[in-house]
Amino acid sequence: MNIQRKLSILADAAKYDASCASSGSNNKNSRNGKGVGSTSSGMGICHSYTPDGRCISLLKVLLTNFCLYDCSYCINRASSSVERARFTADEVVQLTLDFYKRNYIEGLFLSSGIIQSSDYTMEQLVNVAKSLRKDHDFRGYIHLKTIPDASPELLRMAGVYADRLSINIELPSEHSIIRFAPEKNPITIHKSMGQLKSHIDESKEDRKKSKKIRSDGRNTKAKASRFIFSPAGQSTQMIVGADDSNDMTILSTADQLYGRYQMRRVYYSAYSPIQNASAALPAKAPPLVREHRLYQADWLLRFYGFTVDEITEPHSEQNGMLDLDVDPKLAWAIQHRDLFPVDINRAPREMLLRIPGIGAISVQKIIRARKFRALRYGDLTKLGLSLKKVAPFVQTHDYNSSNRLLERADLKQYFMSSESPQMSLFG
Amino acid sequence: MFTVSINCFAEWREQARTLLMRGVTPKSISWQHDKQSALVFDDGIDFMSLPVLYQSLSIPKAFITMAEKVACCRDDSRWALLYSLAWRILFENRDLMSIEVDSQVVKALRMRKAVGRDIHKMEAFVRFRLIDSQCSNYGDYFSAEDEYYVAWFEPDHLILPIAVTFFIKRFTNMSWSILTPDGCAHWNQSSVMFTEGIHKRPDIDDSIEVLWLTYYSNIFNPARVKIKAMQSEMPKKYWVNLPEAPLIKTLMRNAGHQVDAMLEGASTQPWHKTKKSTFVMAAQKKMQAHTTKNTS
Ligand code: SF4
Repeated sequence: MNIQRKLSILADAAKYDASCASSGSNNKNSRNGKGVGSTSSGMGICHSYTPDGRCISLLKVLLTNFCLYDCSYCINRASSSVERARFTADEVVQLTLDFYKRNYIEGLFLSSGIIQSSDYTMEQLVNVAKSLRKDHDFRGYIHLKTIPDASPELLRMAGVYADRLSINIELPSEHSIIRFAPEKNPITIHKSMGQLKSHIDESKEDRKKSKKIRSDGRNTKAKASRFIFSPAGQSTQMIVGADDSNDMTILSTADQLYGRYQMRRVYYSAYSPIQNASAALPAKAPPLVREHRLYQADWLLRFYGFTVDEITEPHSEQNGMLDLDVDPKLAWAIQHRDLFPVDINRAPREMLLRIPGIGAISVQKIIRARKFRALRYGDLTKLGLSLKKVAPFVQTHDYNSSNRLLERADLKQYFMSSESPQMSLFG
Repeated sequence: MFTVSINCFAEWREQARTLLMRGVTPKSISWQHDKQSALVFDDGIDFMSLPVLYQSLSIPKAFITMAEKVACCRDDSRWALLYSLAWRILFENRDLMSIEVDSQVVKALRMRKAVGRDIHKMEAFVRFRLIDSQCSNYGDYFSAEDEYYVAWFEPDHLILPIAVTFFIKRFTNMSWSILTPDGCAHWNQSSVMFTEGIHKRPDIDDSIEVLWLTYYSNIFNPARVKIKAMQSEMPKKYWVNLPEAPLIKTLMRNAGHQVDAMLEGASTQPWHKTKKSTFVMAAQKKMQAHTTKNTS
């Protein structure tokens, strides 16, 4: 089989993993080196976008799509009739370098079906990363998918070469994992995430120490002895809509994963129809709007001080599901109108963050600017805010919404006309 | 009225300092930018001869960093705007830049943002193509033994001198040229050289490109078409220089059929092979246990 055919099969097999981030690593560049590559602690770069709106940042492929397991939702499961292929380590290394040198990608995201054994598979993945780093002095981004029941030594090696590691939790509840991924073990998944976390912590400590040594001026061999492990941390993915877990379960699981393992990201991947799917799962269009709302909710959990309960309102008539019509922050605000309008010039940061239509960056700007002069209603447009969105919820000395918009029974409708969440799915 | 001609940020910085030290108000300067960087003195007054009113002026570093970006903006009002802001920071309010609702501040920040985005998109969408070093039009600047890559890009703003540092850090050990209508940058693995812009995209083939197109087509998920999301991040204006862009139409057209086929196609009964795979796993574990026992 030629390389082009392999690439088409093994890219197709990899596309259901939503992660594409190439951000938040350590700062590297290829000065004083032999190879190519750089990474930064800031934003990653999306080198292209496919018509599904997703970014191409990494060469995302499977080493092989042969797999011994039979996870119902997966196109590569043992019982699927999909065509199989396997790259050699050298082929992946060469492709990565060729793509990288043409500025198509930020690096490699390598995953694999389970062949022979977990350890064997993990070793193959580690070998690719090792070859890129050691043989080619590659300094771009490497994301390795980690096989949860691979040995601790292999997990440790993976983190030495990779910028990011991920272990997919796959499904929101243990029950669903057992049901739809029968060969996977929720306990092992958690154990391995725990191991990654402790290595990541250890490496952070180490970096802090060596920084301190350097600033003390005792720049001895500190640099050489630094333990660098997965500097961009770990992430995970949950499939949405394959099982019947509700959004509250999904978000609680995510919340725990953030808390326990300091995940950099939890990705939500709408279960998407695959060729030759398992009869155990729904054959329908992927729930893209739901996925989108979950990402918004995830954001609220991480950067806006919301709790899972607040977002999913356990006692509301939604049954632990997010409202698909409006974003979760707006949905919350409509339920809590008594807390609005919020005074832009006086409210504390926490409250500004709760105003629908105002993002964290705008909050920052408001706080900075209002130190110097009182903000007028008209100033909000200058900050790039949409007045239509914020109008019902804010108050300035020259504007007060309370007796108008906020009391409208059809407040939600007012917004729905401006927002169109029913994105067209099929063109 | 003074007329000052400026070509680049360094020149602006120099002239602005001179003018600010002499207390020349923003209103009395007309900023020009033509190719000859000579100072033209209207009214016959050389402003260098004006008395220096302020010996030491200190401008916050953050402003200079921002100004450097704003200076790349292809907008004729940029030099006047920057001068006016500098003036106000020095003589009105040192914290001016924090007031992000001030009209001039808003304007400068918008310009900076546009430039920042342009740089980011350039880092993303430049596509290098491998060609023969022999074909290099830049004489012996490049060694004939090295692989030589060339990219063509059309930035919105005058960002090449700033944007090039990213490519140098990332592709230090590669020889390359980035050609744009405003100027060209060349890197021979040790130093950078700038030459005049060129006006036509060079015609280069690269055999790896077909693999990139294969990848692009296959990483796309036809069940999730969101063309608007894609276009907001990769607007059409960039498509002409992206080798993968011509695929977009076909991928979109075929998406519907592909998904229908998936939804209606044959499904597999679950657990059919699961048993088998668990069985294989167990057998392998046994084998492994056996071999480790034997070798130890
Ligand atoms: S282990 Fe499960 S999810 Fe991973 S490739 Fe195999 S079948 Fe797919």
